[in-house]
Amino acid sequence: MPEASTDPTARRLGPLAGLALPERHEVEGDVGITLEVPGPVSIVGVEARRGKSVTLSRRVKKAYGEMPKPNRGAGETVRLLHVAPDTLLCLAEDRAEGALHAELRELLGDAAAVVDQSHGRTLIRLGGPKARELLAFGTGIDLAPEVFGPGACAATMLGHVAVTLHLRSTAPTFDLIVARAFAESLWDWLKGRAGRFGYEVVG
Amino acid sequence: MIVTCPFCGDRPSEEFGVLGDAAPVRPADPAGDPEAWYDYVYLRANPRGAHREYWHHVGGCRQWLVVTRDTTTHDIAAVEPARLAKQTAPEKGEP
Ligand SMILES: [Zn+2]
Repeated sequence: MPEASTDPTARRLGPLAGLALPERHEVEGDVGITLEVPGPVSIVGVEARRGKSVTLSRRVKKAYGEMPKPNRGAGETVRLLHVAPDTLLCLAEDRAEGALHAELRELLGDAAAVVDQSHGRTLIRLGGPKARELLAFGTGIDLAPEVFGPGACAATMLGHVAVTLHLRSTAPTFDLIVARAFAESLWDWLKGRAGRFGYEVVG
Repeated sequence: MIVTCPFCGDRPSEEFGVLGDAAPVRPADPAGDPEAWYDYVYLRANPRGAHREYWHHVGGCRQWLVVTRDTTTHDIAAVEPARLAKQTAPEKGEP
């Protein structure tokens, strides 16, 4: 049995903990895809209550500097993805258990439903020069760089699994947020299609 | 088939669930005319040509939409969020 930890984030053991192990599979001496499961990540869903759309935008702007436009992400330490009308998916790394939820509840609790999803969703980071090609196997959205550029986010289907995509940088680096119960299936799907490009799982 | 979601933009129809005819309006009185309730619960128009339908963007923003689609060509004339769309009662004599 693992020893009890005093680390407040230690309880957040993701569903890919025993699966996303470092490995490298080259094709012609190269890899086109990198996969990583960063952790622990705090994930909180925010949805404005009826008539509170403006209140939500105003308070988010005041606290974090910007209310992202539809289908865009904004923010550094707290990332806010505007994935649906009056709905944000909020992400932060290296936060203590429940801290992001408490912060957003304090800020928006009377104007929005604020739900901690840190245990319910998993973040998979996908990078490498072939990342767009890989995603194109499984989603119908337009991934052309001039359409889906840095900062873009989308709620879509990937390999028949509902995911939220966020393009963090031009590198490109995509963050994929998926429901916990589908994480293993999506992980297998990603690795299965990454094989042809060569891939590396970063520990 | 591409559906242009007012929030998400162009998306494949595979991302959507279709409920069908958007015309029926729920009768106001729960104890009202059984005929009106029967119409509301069971009867749906199946026209040839333009049709307003409820679509759910279940694989995207999860909004309910009203899609105006030509049932013979699949041409889409309009897509509106259902919460903003005008509910229209079926015309008299419509099946
Ligand atoms: Zn949508």
